Amino acid sequence: MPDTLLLLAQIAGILVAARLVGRAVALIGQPRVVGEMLAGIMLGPSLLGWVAPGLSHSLFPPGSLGFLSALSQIGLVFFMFLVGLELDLKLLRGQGKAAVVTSHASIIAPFCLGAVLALFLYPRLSDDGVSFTAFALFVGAAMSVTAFPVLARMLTERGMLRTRLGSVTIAAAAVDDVTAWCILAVVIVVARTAETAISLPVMLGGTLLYVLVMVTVVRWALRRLENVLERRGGLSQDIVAIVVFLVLASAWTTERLGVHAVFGAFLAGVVMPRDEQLVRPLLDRFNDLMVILFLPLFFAFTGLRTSIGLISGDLWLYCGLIIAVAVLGKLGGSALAARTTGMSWRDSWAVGTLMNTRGLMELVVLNVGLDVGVISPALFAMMVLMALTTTFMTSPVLARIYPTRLLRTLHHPAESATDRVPARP
Amino acid sequence: MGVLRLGQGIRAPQAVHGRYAVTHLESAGTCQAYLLSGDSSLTMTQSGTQVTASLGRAGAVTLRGHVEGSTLTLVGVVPVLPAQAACPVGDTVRLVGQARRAPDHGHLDGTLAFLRCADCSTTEFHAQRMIPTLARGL
Repeated sequence: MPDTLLLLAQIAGILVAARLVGRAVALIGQPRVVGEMLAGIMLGPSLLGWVAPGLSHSLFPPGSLGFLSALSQIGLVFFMFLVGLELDLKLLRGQGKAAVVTSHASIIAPFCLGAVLALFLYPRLSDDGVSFTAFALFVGAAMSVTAFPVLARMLTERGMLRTRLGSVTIAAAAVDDVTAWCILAVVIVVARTAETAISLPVMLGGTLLYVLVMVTVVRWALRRLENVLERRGGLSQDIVAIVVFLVLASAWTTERLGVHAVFGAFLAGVVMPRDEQLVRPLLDRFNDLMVILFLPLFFAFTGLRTSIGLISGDLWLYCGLIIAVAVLGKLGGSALAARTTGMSWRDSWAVGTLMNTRGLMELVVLNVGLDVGVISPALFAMMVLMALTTTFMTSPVLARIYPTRLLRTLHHPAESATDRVPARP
Repeated sequence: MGVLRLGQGIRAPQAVHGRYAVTHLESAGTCQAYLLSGDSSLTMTQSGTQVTASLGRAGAVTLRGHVEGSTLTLVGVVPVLPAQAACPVGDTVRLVGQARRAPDHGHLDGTLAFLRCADCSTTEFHAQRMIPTLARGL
């Protein structure tokens, strides 16, 4: 049985820390989500457990973390549903070559560099319980992630969302989202077949069949919801209950198939009808609870698993190398690709900088990797630092590339699909 | 594809991480008896050759060290034990073990020594890795 008092104290402590640090980083021009990520790390063994081990042990005794874990996983499932729900590949329309080339390059370059880096990291930070193939694919996928919601928020705050630069970036990031999740699903299948009782053909076949059923039968059935919405004139509690059931059932199915629950939740979001009467009210209903409660819990749980103390001596050099390769692959790859499509150097660097934002999407990927056992705790800590660094550097670097006085010179195309901004951080 | 092919030839350190059930092989001194009695377990996390372990009831001792080949060497500091254990606080505990693979379980055979405890001799122990849970996601 959970210790209710302790759980309530944990949640309250996490929420206060997240809000305080979120506000503090907002004062230096960073998105709040960066502060919330930082607050999670601070509550873990890297800071609280280091400076006040007694308090840390009282507030987060190891035996109590199961309940926090369960809550944060449920939050993660619904967060991934919202990511899928907001995914709009129509953003690519009209963006032409620049978005297509940039999106492909921003995946391929970091993925390949990550796989090469894996040759160096595998004998140093992994063990023979993980195959090199799974390890290399995971490092590549982790390098390729872009935090679509965070960069959308940054573009909005800087008034760049409706510019050509913003449109290209947001379209490329949307494609990145889908590609990175597909790669990660493959990694999990490769990594988990050695561990689970489910054979590779069953896992692969079952997953493909499930995706097919979701995008055909379930999508068709969900379209009936649009008629119900029209009849009832809005979103009723019954419809919300159906959606919640679908998310949980889909997450359960992919977890049962041996692929992580987050994929089922993401898929449930992707197959939802894109009716504004459904999407916007759903986002509104879930958003506050997600931003205020569940994401901080997820960040805290990530922080409790992150032990920066595991990084010592030479491992700091490896950490620096991981960050350098991540930035080179994503920022450099995206910028060069944008440049080849005829964008100016300034715009190209701005695209690269924005695509380099990894944010909480990277944390989701890393937690999946740690759950599956494809990365070690030390590599997890290094990659969390990489996620923080690449997210933290975006705002100041972008401000250097595009000072406020230059923002006015940006070309503003006609209103487009980019008008719909993710409501999450 | 070239990178993946190249990587097949790279060897990573032996995997020893996981949770082990610890059993005695010979009678233990007071400190070992406290640490390795009842439902005591050895939980190890691993990053390359670097290993961190917690041993005993509710992770009574934290040990740090490395694995070289199949040989595991870990060292930690004795925490405050109950009075009957009579171990000096701050004593160093040293675990040396040989990891063995098996199709279903991993095994660890080794010795546990308390360097300054007058009542404790070096104790041999055996540990068997518990089967990992099938679903590590949710």
